[in-house]
Amino acid sequence: MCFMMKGRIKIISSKNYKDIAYGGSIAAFLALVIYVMFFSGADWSLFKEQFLNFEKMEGRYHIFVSPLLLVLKISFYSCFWATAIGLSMAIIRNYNNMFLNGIITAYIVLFRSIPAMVLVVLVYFTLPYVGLNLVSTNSVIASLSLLFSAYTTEIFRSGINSVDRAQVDAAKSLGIGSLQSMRWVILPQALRVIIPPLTSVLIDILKTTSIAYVVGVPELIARARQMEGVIGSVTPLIFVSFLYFLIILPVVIFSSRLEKRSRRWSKS
Amino acid sequence: MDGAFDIDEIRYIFFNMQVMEGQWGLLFSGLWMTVKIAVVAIIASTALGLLVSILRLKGNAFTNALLIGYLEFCRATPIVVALIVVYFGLPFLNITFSPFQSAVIVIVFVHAAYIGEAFRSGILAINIAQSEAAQSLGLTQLQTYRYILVPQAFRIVLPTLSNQWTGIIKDTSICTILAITELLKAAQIVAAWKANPTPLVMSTLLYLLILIPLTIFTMKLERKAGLKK
Repeated sequence: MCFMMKGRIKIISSKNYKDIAYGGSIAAFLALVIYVMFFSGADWSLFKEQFLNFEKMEGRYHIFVSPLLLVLKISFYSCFWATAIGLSMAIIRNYNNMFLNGIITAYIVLFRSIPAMVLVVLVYFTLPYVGLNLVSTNSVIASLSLLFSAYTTEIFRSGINSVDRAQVDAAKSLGIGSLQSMRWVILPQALRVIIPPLTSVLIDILKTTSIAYVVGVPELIARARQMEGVIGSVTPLIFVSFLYFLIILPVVIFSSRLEKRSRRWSKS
Repeated sequence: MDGAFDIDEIRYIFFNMQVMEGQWGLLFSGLWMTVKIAVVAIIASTALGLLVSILRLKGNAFTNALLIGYLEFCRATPIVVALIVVYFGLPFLNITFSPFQSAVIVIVFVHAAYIGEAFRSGILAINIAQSEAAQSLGLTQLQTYRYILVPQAFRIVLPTLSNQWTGIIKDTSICTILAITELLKAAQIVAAWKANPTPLVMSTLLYLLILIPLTIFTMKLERKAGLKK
């Protein structure tokens, strides 16, 4: 009796619940859209004119080519240096030297704590006082490499730790040196664990390059804001955010696919 | 660089307390603003993230598609771009937010997506038998979430959550690009006025004072979670 009742209630309620939820969610979304379109006080005749005014942009698209390349260049170099520093620090940590480990841990804590914006401003505005004049692009590359090498060190370390200890011992007993066993035995196996989080660092680097705007790097946002003043419309800004989206989205999709695959690996 | 590093010179340039005299007030009011943004954003984004995760779990194909779109959008949009569009772009449509409002809106909107994803994986990690047991005890869906799933999920996602919270505090510094005097902006104002980078160094130290304990806490939690696996 009890089971029957429970079963009946469950069948009825779950079916009704699903229908109601489905209809309700669509209705709520439509209501939100209608509210934003008509009742929120926004002037939508302005929307097309201000936000999607691509007639005014005509003949100006080529201006965005060099800043786009600059963004890619900054991301590439920061990614390269972050990976290089992270890998070498992870290898150094693997030797278990107390003193060096302390320094590396302090480095990781420091650069995981410091906000990107603060570091970029600090590097660009204070180093000239000691006579170290970095070009703004280079100061951004330097700070991004420092920041993200803290993350990559931990990624590489957990990758190296994921390889079975017996493999290292086997390599040692075969007479392979420690650096060589790192290169030929450990790293190839660790890559499976390393690559998915590394792509998410790449995404973060791509996103963080937009901070370069504050130190006057002529990158996408800076150009868009200049053009915004010239043509009197926010369209360049919208165009630039679309460009960013276009660069980052493929990496995001690639990364989440990799993560899913690695999760499946770790389960099996 | 001319000559070797001189310790007195370094102190004069980077730790010049004469420059800071009478300026601490501005710096601390900036710090207060940073804390205000961070606290409001942390509370709001955690609440919104929890809501998003429950919607993801209980939702249908339509809401799931919307929420996945929202998540991917947030992952692929730099906060600087979002801030500029909200603060400098929306007024063209006669929607005007104060700098504080736009800072909070953008940070909450972006981080809630990440926090929602974290909560979702946390709730999914709990054994399904638990919610079945709760149901057989006669608890409603809401009660199951309130008393069984969410408290446990909190414990599971705490490392990710504290990482996100640290991220929120860090992202408040991006709000310098708006007309808002938070810690970094206050330091920049003083540094420009006194032509000395000491305020920037001091503001960095203040940031580190807040963030280093949080980072160490996060790293400890992460290590513990890693060991449990």
